Amino acid sequence: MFLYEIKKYTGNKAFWLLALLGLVLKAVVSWNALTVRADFPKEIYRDYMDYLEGEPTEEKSDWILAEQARLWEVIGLHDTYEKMYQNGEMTLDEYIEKNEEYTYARAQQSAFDAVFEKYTYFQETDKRVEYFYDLEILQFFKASGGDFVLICFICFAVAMTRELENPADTKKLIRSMPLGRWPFNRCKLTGALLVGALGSLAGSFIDIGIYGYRYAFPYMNMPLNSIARISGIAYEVPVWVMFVLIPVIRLAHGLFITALVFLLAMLIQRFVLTIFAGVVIFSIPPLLADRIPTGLARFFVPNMTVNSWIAPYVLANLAVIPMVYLVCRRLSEKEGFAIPFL
Amino acid sequence: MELAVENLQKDYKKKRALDGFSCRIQEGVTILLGPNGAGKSTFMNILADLTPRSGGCVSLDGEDIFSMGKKYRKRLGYLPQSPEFYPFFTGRDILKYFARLKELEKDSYDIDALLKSVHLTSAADRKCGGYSGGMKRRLGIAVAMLGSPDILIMDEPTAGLDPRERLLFKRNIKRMSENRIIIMATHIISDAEDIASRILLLKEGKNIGEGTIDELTQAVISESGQEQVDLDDVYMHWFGEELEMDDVLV
Repeated sequence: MFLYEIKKYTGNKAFWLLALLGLVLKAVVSWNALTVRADFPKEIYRDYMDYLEGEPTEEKSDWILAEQARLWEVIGLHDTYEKMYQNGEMTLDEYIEKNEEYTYARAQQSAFDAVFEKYTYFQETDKRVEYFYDLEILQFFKASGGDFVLICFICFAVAMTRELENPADTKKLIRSMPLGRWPFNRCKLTGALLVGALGSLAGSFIDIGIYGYRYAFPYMNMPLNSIARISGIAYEVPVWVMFVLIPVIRLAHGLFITALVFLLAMLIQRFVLTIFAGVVIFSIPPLLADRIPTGLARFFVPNMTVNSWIAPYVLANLAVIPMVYLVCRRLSEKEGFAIPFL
Repeated sequence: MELAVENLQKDYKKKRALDGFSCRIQEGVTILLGPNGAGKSTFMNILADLTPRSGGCVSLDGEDIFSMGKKYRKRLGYLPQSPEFYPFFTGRDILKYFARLKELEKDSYDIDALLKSVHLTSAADRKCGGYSGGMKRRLGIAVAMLGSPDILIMDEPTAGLDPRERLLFKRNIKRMSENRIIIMATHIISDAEDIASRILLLKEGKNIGEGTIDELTQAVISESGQEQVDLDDVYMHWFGEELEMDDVLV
Protein backbone atom coordinates (compact mmCIF):
# COMPACT_ATOMS: atom_id res chain seq x y z
CA MET A 1 0.00 0.00 0.00
CA PHE A 2 2.86 2.33 0.85
CA LEU A 3 4.45 1.78 -2.57
CA TYR A 4 1.18 2.80 -4.22
CA GLU A 5 1.18 5.88 -2.05
CA ILE A 6 4.63 6.78 -3.37
CA LYS A 7 3.39 6.10 -6.88
CA LYS A 8 0.68 8.72 -6.37
CA TYR A 9 3.53 11.22 -6.20
CA THR A 10 6.02 9.77 -8.66
CA GLY A 11 3.42 8.81 -11.26
CA ASN A 12 2.21 12.38 -11.49
CA LYS A 13 4.00 14.52 -14.07
CA ALA A 14 2.95 17.65 -12.18
CA PHE A 15 4.91 16.40 -9.17
CA TRP A 16 8.12 16.08 -11.18
CA LEU A 17 7.57 19.51 -12.69
CA LEU A 18 7.04 20.92 -9.21
CA ALA A 19 10.16 19.16 -7.91
CA LEU A 20 12.27 20.42 -10.82
CA LEU A 21 10.97 23.95 -10.42
CA GLY A 22 11.59 23.78 -6.66
CA LEU A 23 15.16 22.57 -7.11
CA VAL A 24 16.01 25.26 -9.67
CA LEU A 25 14.42 27.98 -7.57
CA LYS A 26 16.14 26.71 -4.44
CA ALA A 27 19.50 26.69 -6.26
CA VAL A 28 19.04 30.29 -7.43
CA VAL A 29 17.95 31.49 -3.99
CA SER A 30 20.73 29.58 -2.24
CA TRP A 31 23.39 30.88 -4.63
CA ASN A 32 22.36 34.37 -3.66
CA ALA A 33 21.94 33.59 0.06
CA LEU A 34 25.39 32.00 0.27
CA THR A 35 27.14 35.06 -1.12
CA VAL A 36 29.15 36.49 1.73
CA ARG A 37 28.03 39.96 2.66
CA ALA A 38 29.88 42.07 5.19
CA ASP A 39 29.84 45.77 6.01
CA PHE A 40 33.66 45.83 5.92
CA PRO A 41 36.21 44.84 3.24
CA LYS A 42 36.26 41.04 3.23
CA GLU A 43 39.75 40.84 1.74
CA ILE A 44 41.27 42.90 4.54
CA TYR A 45 39.49 40.74 7.11
CA ARG A 46 40.79 37.66 5.32
CA ASP A 47 44.36 39.04 5.41
CA TYR A 48 44.06 39.61 9.15
CA MET A 49 42.65 36.16 9.78
CA ASP A 50 45.22 34.46 7.54
CA TYR A 51 47.93 36.19 9.51
CA LEU A 52 46.40 35.24 12.86
CA GLU A 53 45.25 31.74 11.87
CA GLY A 54 45.60 29.16 14.61
CA GLU A 55 45.28 29.09 18.36
CA PRO A 56 45.31 32.40 20.23
CA THR A 57 48.71 33.15 21.77
CA GLU A 58 50.24 35.95 23.77
CA GLU A 59 52.11 37.12 20.67
CA LYS A 60 48.92 37.28 18.65
CA SER A 61 47.16 39.19 21.41
CA ASP A 62 50.03 41.64 21.58
CA TRP A 63 49.97 42.02 17.83
CA ILE A 64 46.23 42.74 17.83
CA LEU A 65 46.60 45.40 20.52
CA ALA A 66 49.51 46.92 18.65
CA GLU A 67 47.57 46.91 15.39
CA GLN A 68 44.66 48.59 17.10
CA ALA A 69 46.97 51.29 18.46
CA ARG A 70 48.52 51.74 15.01
CA LEU A 71 45.16 52.14 13.33
CA TRP A 72 43.97 54.60 15.94
CA GLU A 73 47.16 56.55 15.49
CA VAL A 74 46.87 56.74 11.71
CA ILE A 75 43.22 57.68 11.89
CA GLY A 76 43.81 60.12 14.75
CA LEU A 77 46.58 61.94 12.85
CA HIS A 78 44.33 62.66 9.89
CA ASP A 79 43.07 65.97 11.30
CA THR A 80 46.62 67.01 12.16
CA TYR A 81 47.85 66.28 8.61
CA GLU A 82 44.93 68.17 7.17
CA LYS A 83 45.78 71.24 9.24
CA MET A 84 49.46 70.89 8.32
CA TYR A 85 48.54 70.80 4.65
CA GLN A 86 46.24 73.79 5.03
CA ASN A 87 49.00 75.67 6.89
CA GLY A 88 51.46 74.83 4.15
CA GLU A 89 53.57 72.62 6.41
CA MET A 90 53.02 69.68 4.06
CA THR A 91 53.24 69.35 0.28
CA LEU A 92 50.30 68.12 -1.79
CA ASP A 93 52.12 64.85 -2.59
CA GLU A 94 52.81 64.23 1.10
CA TYR A 95 49.21 65.06 1.94
CA ILE A 96 47.88 62.69 -0.75
CA GLU A 97 50.14 59.94 0.57
CA LYS A 98 48.96 60.49 4.16
CA ASN A 99 45.35 60.67 3.04
CA GLU A 100 45.67 57.34 1.24
CA GLU A 101 47.18 55.87 4.40
CA TYR A 102 44.24 57.26 6.36
CA THR A 103 41.63 55.92 3.92
CA TYR A 104 43.22 52.47 3.96
CA ALA A 105 43.43 52.56 7.76
CA ARG A 106 39.72 53.39 7.94
CA ALA A 107 38.98 50.38 5.78
CA GLN A 108 41.31 48.27 7.91
CA GLN A 109 39.67 49.60 11.04
CA SER A 110 36.22 48.43 9.95
CA ALA A 111 37.56 44.94 9.26
CA PHE A 112 39.71 45.06 12.37
CA ASP A 113 36.63 45.72 14.51
CA ALA A 114 35.47 42.21 13.62
CA VAL A 115 38.92 40.85 14.49
CA PHE A 116 38.93 42.73 17.77
CA GLU A 117 35.45 41.50 18.61
CA LYS A 118 36.75 37.98 18.10
CA TYR A 119 39.83 38.75 20.22
CA THR A 120 37.62 40.04 23.04
CA TYR A 121 35.41 36.95 22.80
CA PHE A 122 38.48 34.69 22.85
CA GLN A 123 39.74 36.45 25.97
CA GLU A 124 36.46 35.78 27.74
CA THR A 125 35.69 32.23 26.68
CA ASP A 126 37.06 29.17 28.36
CA LYS A 127 36.35 26.97 25.33
CA ARG A 128 38.85 25.83 22.74
CA VAL A 129 38.96 28.44 19.97
CA GLU A 130 41.14 29.31 16.99
CA TYR A 131 41.50 32.20 14.60
CA PHE A 132 40.44 31.48 11.02
CA TYR A 133 38.55 33.17 8.19
CA ASP A 134 34.96 32.36 9.14
CA LEU A 135 32.76 34.68 7.04
CA GLU A 136 31.76 31.97 4.54
CA ILE A 137 30.94 29.48 7.27
CA LEU A 138 28.96 32.12 9.13
CA GLN A 139 27.05 32.86 5.94
CA PHE A 140 26.19 29.18 5.59
CA PHE A 141 24.94 29.09 9.17
CA LYS A 142 22.71 32.09 8.84
CA ALA A 143 21.49 31.47 5.29
CA SER A 144 17.92 30.25 5.46
CA GLY A 145 17.33 31.18 1.84
CA GLY A 146 15.10 28.77 0.02
CA ASP A 147 13.11 27.61 3.03
CA PHE A 148 10.10 29.32 1.51
CA VAL A 149 10.64 27.20 -1.62
CA LEU A 150 10.57 24.10 0.57
CA ILE A 151 7.37 25.24 2.26
CA CYS A 152 5.71 25.87 -1.12
CA PHE A 153 6.94 22.54 -2.51
CA ILE A 154 5.58 20.59 0.45
CA CYS A 155 2.26 22.44 0.44
CA PHE A 156 1.77 21.82 -3.28
CA ALA A 157 2.97 18.21 -3.32
CA VAL A 158 0.92 17.10 -0.31
CA ALA A 159 -2.23 19.01 -1.25
CA MET A 160 -1.96 17.90 -4.90
CA THR A 161 -1.81 14.23 -3.96
CA ARG A 162 -4.58 14.57 -1.40
CA GLU A 163 -6.69 16.32 -4.03
CA LEU A 164 -6.82 13.08 -6.05
CA GLU A 165 -8.99 11.62 -3.30
CA ASN A 166 -11.08 14.69 -2.54
CA PRO A 167 -14.00 14.00 -4.92
CA ALA A 168 -16.85 12.88 -2.65
CA ASP A 169 -17.48 9.58 -4.43
CA THR A 170 -13.80 8.66 -4.53
CA LYS A 171 -13.59 9.28 -0.80
CA LYS A 172 -16.65 7.09 -0.28
CA LEU A 173 -15.17 4.28 -2.33
CA ILE A 174 -11.94 4.37 -0.32
CA ARG A 175 -13.72 4.65 3.01
CA SER A 176 -15.86 1.62 2.18
CA MET A 177 -12.71 -0.53 2.05
CA PRO A 178 -11.51 -2.47 5.12
CA LEU A 179 -8.22 -0.55 5.12
CA GLY A 180 -9.73 2.65 3.72
CA ARG A 181 -9.71 4.67 6.91
CA TRP A 182 -6.82 4.98 9.33
CA PRO A 183 -4.46 2.45 7.62
CA PHE A 184 -5.00 4.32 4.34
CA ASN A 185 -4.36 7.70 5.96
CA ARG A 186 -1.38 6.36 7.88
CA CYS A 187 0.18 5.31 4.58
CA LYS A 188 -0.62 8.70 3.15
CA LEU A 189 0.97 10.47 6.10
CA THR A 190 4.08 8.29 5.87
CA GLY A 191 4.32 8.90 2.12
CA ALA A 192 3.93 12.64 2.63
CA LEU A 193 6.58 12.64 5.36
CA LEU A 194 8.96 10.80 3.04
CA VAL A 195 8.39 13.38 0.29
CA GLY A 196 8.82 16.22 2.81
CA ALA A 197 12.02 14.63 4.12
CA LEU A 198 13.46 14.14 0.63
CA GLY A 199 12.54 17.70 -0.32
CA SER A 200 14.21 19.01 2.80
CA LEU A 201 17.35 16.90 2.30
CA ALA A 202 17.52 17.90 -1.37
CA GLY A 203 17.42 21.55 -0.27
CA SER A 204 20.24 20.98 2.21
CA PHE A 205 22.33 19.11 -0.37
CA ILE A 206 21.89 22.01 -2.78
CA ASP A 207 23.13 24.42 -0.10
CA ILE A 208 26.09 22.21 0.76
CA GLY A 209 26.82 21.60 -2.93
CA ILE A 210 26.81 25.32 -3.72
CA TYR A 211 28.93 26.01 -0.66
CA GLY A 212 31.43 23.35 -1.68
CA TYR A 213 31.54 24.61 -5.26
CA ARG A 214 32.12 28.21 -4.21
CA TYR A 215 34.26 27.86 -1.11
CA ALA A 216 35.50 24.24 -1.06
CA PHE A 217 34.90 23.52 2.64
CA PRO A 218 37.91 25.16 4.30
CA TYR A 219 38.46 25.12 8.09
CA MET A 220 36.08 22.22 8.68
CA ASN A 221 38.13 20.91 11.58
CA MET A 222 38.39 24.22 13.39
CA PRO A 223 36.57 24.44 16.74
CA LEU A 224 33.00 25.57 16.27
CA ASN A 225 33.14 27.76 19.35
CA SER A 226 35.58 30.03 17.50
CA ILE A 227 32.53 31.61 15.88
CA ALA A 228 31.15 33.98 18.49
CA ARG A 229 27.66 33.79 17.07
CA ILE A 230 27.45 30.12 17.96
CA SER A 231 28.96 30.54 21.36
CA GLY A 232 25.87 29.03 22.96
CA ILE A 233 26.94 25.57 21.81
CA ALA A 234 27.94 23.73 24.93
CA TYR A 235 30.02 21.08 23.20
CA GLU A 236 33.49 21.48 21.80
CA VAL A 237 32.94 20.17 18.31
CA PRO A 238 34.54 20.97 14.97
CA VAL A 239 32.81 23.13 12.35
CA TRP A 240 31.83 20.17 10.17
CA VAL A 241 29.42 18.94 12.87
CA MET A 242 27.30 22.00 12.15
CA PHE A 243 27.26 21.13 8.46
CA VAL A 244 25.62 17.87 9.52
CA LEU A 245 23.39 19.37 12.19
CA ILE A 246 21.85 22.04 9.96
CA PRO A 247 20.43 19.51 7.46
CA VAL A 248 19.10 17.59 10.49
CA ILE A 249 17.32 20.73 11.75
CA ARG A 250 15.99 21.39 8.27
CA LEU A 251 14.84 17.79 8.07
CA ALA A 252 12.95 18.16 11.35
CA HIS A 253 11.42 21.34 10.02
CA GLY A 254 10.52 19.70 6.71
CA LEU A 255 8.78 16.88 8.59
CA PHE A 256 7.03 19.39 10.80
CA ILE A 257 5.71 21.37 7.83
CA THR A 258 4.64 18.18 6.05
CA ALA A 259 2.74 16.88 9.07
CA LEU A 260 0.89 20.16 9.52
CA VAL A 261 0.08 20.52 5.81
CA PHE A 262 -1.17 16.94 5.79
CA LEU A 263 -3.48 17.76 8.68
CA LEU A 264 -4.66 20.91 6.89
CA ALA A 265 -5.32 18.93 3.70
CA MET A 266 -7.35 16.46 5.70
CA LEU A 267 -9.32 19.15 7.48
CA ILE A 268 -9.91 21.51 4.58
CA GLN A 269 -10.25 18.95 1.76
CA ARG A 270 -9.75 21.66 -0.84
CA PHE A 271 -6.58 21.94 -2.94
CA VAL A 272 -6.33 25.72 -3.27
CA LEU A 273 -7.46 26.45 0.29
CA THR A 274 -4.94 23.97 1.69
CA ILE A 275 -2.06 25.57 -0.19
CA PHE A 276 -3.21 29.02 0.77
CA ALA A 277 -3.61 28.11 4.45
CA GLY A 278 -0.26 26.29 4.50
CA VAL A 279 1.70 29.10 2.90
CA VAL A 280 0.03 31.71 5.09
CA ILE A 281 0.66 29.77 8.31
CA PHE A 282 4.34 29.33 7.52
CA SER A 283 4.91 32.76 5.99
CA ILE A 284 3.35 35.05 8.53
CA PRO A 285 5.89 34.46 11.34
CA PRO A 286 8.98 35.48 9.33
CA LEU A 287 7.12 38.39 7.74
CA LEU A 288 6.10 39.65 11.15
CA ALA A 289 9.32 38.54 12.79
CA ASP A 290 9.88 41.92 14.40
CA ARG A 291 6.43 42.03 15.94
CA ILE A 292 5.93 38.54 17.24
CA PRO A 293 7.95 36.61 19.81
CA THR A 294 11.12 35.29 18.22
CA GLY A 295 10.53 31.86 19.69
CA LEU A 296 7.21 31.59 17.87
CA ALA A 297 8.71 32.75 14.58
CA ARG A 298 11.49 30.21 14.92
CA PHE A 299 9.02 27.49 15.72
CA PHE A 300 7.53 27.85 12.27
CA VAL A 301 10.56 28.84 10.24
CA PRO A 302 14.07 27.66 10.98
CA ASN A 303 16.53 30.44 11.29
CA MET A 304 19.97 29.07 10.77
CA THR A 305 21.36 31.23 13.51
CA VAL A 306 22.31 28.33 15.63
CA ASN A 307 22.72 28.35 19.34
CA SER A 308 21.53 26.61 22.43
CA TRP A 309 17.85 26.60 21.50
CA ILE A 310 18.49 24.05 18.75
CA ALA A 311 17.53 21.01 20.80
CA PRO A 312 14.20 22.41 22.07
CA TYR A 313 13.42 23.63 18.56
CA VAL A 314 14.05 20.24 16.96
CA LEU A 315 12.14 18.46 19.71
CA ALA A 316 9.21 20.89 19.45
CA ASN A 317 9.12 20.35 15.68
CA LEU A 318 9.21 16.60 15.95
CA ALA A 319 6.66 16.54 18.77
CA VAL A 320 4.12 17.95 16.32
CA ILE A 321 4.25 14.79 14.22
CA PRO A 322 2.79 12.42 16.86
CA MET A 323 0.14 15.04 17.60
CA VAL A 324 -0.80 15.25 13.92
CA TYR A 325 -0.68 11.45 13.81
CA LEU A 326 -3.24 11.19 16.60
CA VAL A 327 -5.54 13.90 15.22
CA CYS A 328 -5.45 12.37 11.73
CA ARG A 329 -6.22 8.98 13.20
CA ARG A 330 -9.22 10.35 15.02
CA LEU A 331 -10.42 12.18 11.92
CA SER A 332 -9.98 9.24 9.57
CA GLU A 333 -11.82 6.81 11.84
CA LYS A 334 -14.64 9.20 12.64
CA GLU A 335 -17.69 8.25 10.65
CA GLY A 336 -18.63 10.58 7.86
CA PHE A 337 -15.98 13.11 8.80
CA ALA A 338 -16.39 16.32 6.89
CA ILE A 339 -16.02 20.03 7.51
CA PRO A 340 -19.53 21.25 6.81
CA PHE A 341 -18.77 24.96 6.44
CA LEU A 342 -16.21 24.44 3.68
CA MET B 1 -27.74 -14.01 5.06
CA GLU B 2 -30.02 -11.11 5.90
CA LEU B 3 -29.65 -7.37 6.37
CA ALA B 4 -32.28 -6.13 8.79
CA VAL B 5 -33.01 -2.43 8.78
CA GLU B 6 -35.04 -1.21 11.73
CA ASN B 7 -36.56 2.24 12.01
CA LEU B 8 -33.60 3.90 10.30
CA GLN B 9 -33.49 7.65 10.53
CA LYS B 10 -31.17 10.23 9.03
CA ASP B 11 -31.47 13.95 9.64
CA TYR B 12 -29.53 16.59 7.81
CA LYS B 13 -29.62 20.21 8.91
CA LYS B 14 -32.84 21.14 7.20
CA LYS B 15 -34.11 17.82 5.96
CA ARG B 16 -35.05 14.37 7.18
CA ALA B 17 -33.61 12.07 4.53
CA LEU B 18 -34.74 8.79 6.10
CA ASP B 19 -37.80 8.66 8.26
CA GLY B 20 -38.24 5.44 10.20
CA PHE B 21 -37.13 3.28 7.29
CA SER B 22 -37.42 -0.45 7.91
CA CYS B 23 -36.92 -3.46 5.65
CA ARG B 24 -35.32 -6.87 5.43
CA ILE B 25 -32.96 -7.61 2.58
CA GLN B 26 -32.09 -11.18 1.69
CA GLU B 27 -29.77 -12.74 -0.85
CA GLY B 28 -30.54 -11.73 -4.41
CA VAL B 29 -30.79 -8.40 -6.19
CA THR B 30 -32.75 -5.72 -4.36
CA ILE B 31 -33.45 -2.68 -6.44
CA LEU B 32 -34.17 0.67 -4.83
CA LEU B 33 -36.66 2.69 -6.80
CA GLY B 34 -37.74 6.20 -6.08
CA PRO B 35 -37.52 9.73 -7.38
CA ASN B 36 -34.53 11.99 -6.77
CA GLY B 37 -34.31 13.00 -3.11
CA ALA B 38 -36.26 9.92 -1.95
CA GLY B 39 -33.31 8.87 0.27
CA LYS B 40 -31.82 6.08 -1.86
CA SER B 41 -28.25 7.33 -1.74
CA THR B 42 -28.46 8.16 1.96
CA PHE B 43 -29.79 4.68 2.63
CA MET B 44 -26.95 3.10 0.65
CA ASN B 45 -24.35 5.33 2.33
CA ILE B 46 -25.58 4.18 5.72
CA LEU B 47 -25.58 0.55 4.60
CA ALA B 48 -21.98 1.03 3.40
CA ASP B 49 -21.06 2.50 6.82
CA LEU B 50 -20.12 5.80 5.21
CA THR B 51 -22.66 8.11 6.79
CA PRO B 52 -23.60 8.14 10.45
CA ARG B 53 -27.26 7.47 11.11
CA SER B 54 -29.41 9.63 13.34
CA GLY B 55 -31.38 6.71 14.65
CA GLY B 56 -32.41 3.09 14.14
CA CYS B 57 -30.20 0.12 13.48
CA VAL B 58 -28.93 -2.13 10.72
CA SER B 59 -27.81 -5.65 11.42
CA LEU B 60 -26.27 -8.39 9.34
CA ASP B 61 -27.46 -11.78 10.55
CA GLY B 62 -28.26 -10.24 13.90
CA GLU B 63 -24.96 -8.37 14.33
CA ASP B 64 -24.94 -4.57 14.30
CA ILE B 65 -23.00 -3.53 11.19
CA PHE B 66 -21.72 -0.31 12.75
CA SER B 67 -19.99 -2.13 15.56
CA MET B 68 -18.62 -4.72 13.12
CA GLY B 69 -16.47 -1.99 11.48
CA LYS B 70 -13.67 -3.47 9.39
CA LYS B 71 -15.16 -6.97 9.69
CA TYR B 72 -18.30 -5.70 7.96
CA ARG B 73 -16.41 -3.73 5.32
CA LYS B 74 -14.42 -6.84 4.45
CA ARG B 75 -17.68 -8.42 3.31
CA LEU B 76 -18.78 -5.30 1.43
CA GLY B 77 -18.40 -4.14 -2.15
CA TYR B 78 -19.48 -0.59 -2.81
CA LEU B 79 -19.80 1.46 -5.98
CA PRO B 80 -20.66 5.14 -5.58
CA GLN B 81 -22.25 7.12 -8.41
CA SER B 82 -19.16 8.63 -9.99
CA PRO B 83 -15.85 7.72 -8.41
CA GLU B 84 -12.70 9.22 -9.89
CA PHE B 85 -9.56 7.12 -10.12
CA TYR B 86 -5.90 8.14 -10.01
CA PRO B 87 -5.41 9.31 -13.60
CA PHE B 88 -1.83 8.05 -13.91
CA PHE B 89 -2.62 4.56 -12.58
CA THR B 90 -3.52 1.90 -15.13
CA GLY B 91 -6.76 -0.04 -14.75
CA ARG B 92 -4.72 -3.01 -13.54
CA ASP B 93 -2.91 -0.80 -10.97
CA ILE B 94 -6.25 0.45 -9.67
CA LEU B 95 -7.55 -3.07 -9.13
CA LYS B 96 -4.31 -4.15 -7.46
CA TYR B 97 -4.37 -1.08 -5.23
CA PHE B 98 -7.98 -1.53 -4.17
CA ALA B 99 -7.32 -5.24 -3.62
CA ARG B 100 -4.70 -4.14 -1.08
CA LEU B 101 -7.20 -1.70 0.49
CA LYS B 102 -9.66 -4.61 0.67
CA GLU B 103 -6.97 -6.64 2.40
CA LEU B 104 -7.32 -9.44 -0.14
CA GLU B 105 -4.77 -12.22 -0.41
CA LYS B 106 -3.09 -12.33 -3.81
CA ASP B 107 -4.54 -15.70 -4.69
CA SER B 108 -8.09 -14.73 -3.68
CA TYR B 109 -8.83 -12.65 -6.74
CA ASP B 110 -8.16 -12.79 -10.46
CA ILE B 111 -7.62 -9.36 -11.94
CA ASP B 112 -7.62 -10.59 -15.53
CA ALA B 113 -10.96 -12.32 -15.06
CA LEU B 114 -12.41 -9.22 -13.43
CA LEU B 115 -11.16 -7.01 -16.24
CA LYS B 116 -12.61 -9.44 -18.74
CA SER B 117 -15.96 -9.45 -16.96
CA VAL B 118 -16.24 -5.67 -17.35
CA HIS B 119 -14.81 -5.75 -20.84
CA LEU B 120 -11.65 -3.82 -20.00
CA THR B 121 -8.98 -6.38 -20.93
CA SER B 122 -7.63 -4.35 -23.84
CA ALA B 123 -7.47 -1.19 -21.72
CA ALA B 124 -6.03 -2.88 -18.65
CA ASP B 125 -2.60 -1.35 -19.04
CA ARG B 126 -3.73 2.06 -20.17
CA LYS B 127 -3.78 4.97 -17.74
CA CYS B 128 -7.20 5.74 -16.24
CA GLY B 129 -6.84 9.40 -17.18
CA GLY B 130 -7.58 8.35 -20.76
CA TYR B 131 -10.65 6.26 -19.90
CA SER B 132 -14.09 7.32 -21.06
CA GLY B 133 -16.91 7.81 -18.55
CA GLY B 134 -18.28 4.34 -19.34
CA MET B 135 -14.87 2.73 -18.91
CA LYS B 136 -14.42 4.40 -15.52
CA ARG B 137 -17.85 3.14 -14.55
CA ARG B 138 -16.92 -0.41 -15.55
CA LEU B 139 -13.66 -0.13 -13.65
CA GLY B 140 -15.67 0.99 -10.62
CA ILE B 141 -17.88 -2.07 -11.01
CA ALA B 142 -14.76 -4.27 -11.13
CA VAL B 143 -13.45 -2.59 -7.96
CA ALA B 144 -16.79 -3.22 -6.21
CA MET B 145 -16.70 -6.86 -7.29
CA LEU B 146 -13.12 -7.39 -6.08
CA GLY B 147 -12.92 -10.33 -3.73
CA SER B 148 -16.50 -11.43 -4.50
CA PRO B 149 -18.07 -9.59 -1.55
CA ASP B 150 -21.10 -10.97 0.29
CA ILE B 151 -22.86 -7.61 0.09
CA LEU B 152 -22.67 -5.49 -3.01
CA ILE B 153 -24.08 -1.95 -2.88
CA MET B 154 -24.17 -0.01 -6.13
CA ASP B 155 -25.51 3.46 -6.77
CA GLU B 156 -26.80 3.68 -10.36
CA PRO B 157 -24.18 1.28 -11.75
CA THR B 158 -25.58 1.21 -15.28
CA ALA B 159 -25.72 4.97 -15.78
CA GLY B 160 -23.38 5.88 -18.63
CA LEU B 161 -22.97 2.32 -19.91
CA ASP B 162 -23.79 1.54 -23.54
CA PRO B 163 -26.45 -1.17 -24.25
CA ARG B 164 -23.88 -3.93 -24.72
CA GLU B 165 -22.08 -3.04 -21.49
CA ARG B 166 -25.39 -2.88 -19.63
CA LEU B 167 -26.29 -6.32 -20.89
CA LEU B 168 -22.93 -7.67 -19.81
CA PHE B 169 -23.28 -6.03 -16.42
CA LYS B 170 -26.76 -7.43 -15.87
CA ARG B 171 -25.59 -10.93 -16.77
CA ASN B 172 -22.75 -10.63 -14.28
CA ILE B 173 -25.07 -9.38 -11.56
CA LYS B 174 -27.56 -12.16 -12.17
CA ARG B 175 -24.78 -14.73 -12.03
CA MET B 176 -23.41 -13.24 -8.81
CA SER B 177 -26.73 -12.78 -7.06
CA GLU B 178 -27.24 -16.40 -6.05
CA ASN B 179 -25.55 -16.33 -2.69
CA ARG B 180 -25.01 -12.68 -1.95
CA ILE B 181 -26.96 -9.56 -1.17
CA ILE B 182 -26.91 -7.06 -4.02
CA ILE B 183 -28.48 -3.67 -3.47
CA MET B 184 -28.75 -1.32 -6.42
CA ALA B 185 -30.31 2.06 -6.95
CA THR B 186 -31.34 2.81 -10.50
CA HIS B 187 -33.59 5.07 -12.52
CA ILE B 188 -33.61 2.65 -15.44
CA ILE B 189 -36.78 0.61 -14.99
CA SER B 190 -35.84 -1.98 -17.61
CA ASP B 191 -32.68 -2.82 -15.66
CA ALA B 192 -34.76 -3.37 -12.58
CA GLU B 193 -37.18 -5.58 -14.53
CA ASP B 194 -34.33 -7.70 -15.86
CA ILE B 195 -32.45 -8.42 -12.69
CA ALA B 196 -34.46 -7.55 -9.59
CA SER B 197 -35.30 -10.29 -7.14
CA ARG B 198 -37.08 -7.72 -5.01
CA ILE B 199 -37.88 -4.05 -5.32
CA LEU B 200 -37.94 -1.47 -2.55
CA LEU B 201 -39.93 1.68 -3.18
CA LEU B 202 -38.70 4.79 -1.40
CA LYS B 203 -40.49 8.06 -1.07
CA GLU B 204 -39.55 10.94 1.20
CA GLY B 205 -37.29 8.70 3.24
CA LYS B 206 -39.93 6.05 3.84
CA ASN B 207 -40.40 2.50 2.64
CA ILE B 208 -43.71 2.77 0.80
CA GLY B 209 -43.74 -0.68 -0.70
CA GLU B 210 -41.62 -3.74 -1.34
CA GLY B 211 -41.85 -7.12 -2.98
CA THR B 212 -41.10 -9.02 -6.15
CA ILE B 213 -42.07 -7.50 -9.47
CA ASP B 214 -45.09 -9.82 -9.60
CA GLU B 215 -46.22 -8.82 -6.12
CA LEU B 216 -45.91 -5.12 -6.90
CA THR B 217 -47.70 -5.36 -10.26
CA GLN B 218 -50.50 -7.44 -8.73
CA ALA B 219 -50.95 -4.83 -6.05
CA VAL B 220 -51.30 -2.11 -8.66
CA ILE B 221 -53.70 -4.25 -10.75
CA SER B 222 -55.95 -4.81 -7.76
CA GLU B 223 -55.85 -1.13 -6.81
CA SER B 224 -56.26 0.40 -10.28
CA GLY B 225 -58.30 -2.26 -12.05
CA GLN B 226 -55.95 -2.23 -15.04
CA GLU B 227 -55.60 -5.53 -16.92
CA GLN B 228 -51.93 -5.43 -17.72
CA VAL B 229 -49.32 -3.66 -15.64
CA ASP B 230 -45.54 -3.54 -15.90
CA LEU B 231 -42.89 -1.99 -13.65
CA ASP B 232 -43.19 1.36 -15.44
CA ASP B 233 -46.83 1.43 -14.39
CA VAL B 234 -45.90 0.50 -10.84
CA TYR B 235 -43.44 3.36 -10.79
CA MET B 236 -45.99 5.78 -12.19
CA HIS B 237 -48.57 4.51 -9.77
CA TRP B 238 -46.42 5.40 -6.80
CA PHE B 239 -44.41 8.35 -8.01
CA GLY B 240 -46.09 9.76 -11.09
CA GLU B 241 -49.02 11.57 -9.49
CA GLU B 242 -47.61 14.96 -10.35
CA LEU B 243 -46.81 14.07 -13.93
CA GLU B 244 -49.19 14.71 -16.81
CA MET B 245 -48.49 11.81 -19.14
CA ASP B 246 -49.97 13.61 -22.15
CA ASP B 247 -47.49 16.43 -21.69
CA VAL B 248 -44.61 14.01 -21.58
CA LEU B 249 -45.69 12.07 -24.66
CA VAL B 250 -46.12 15.24 -26.74
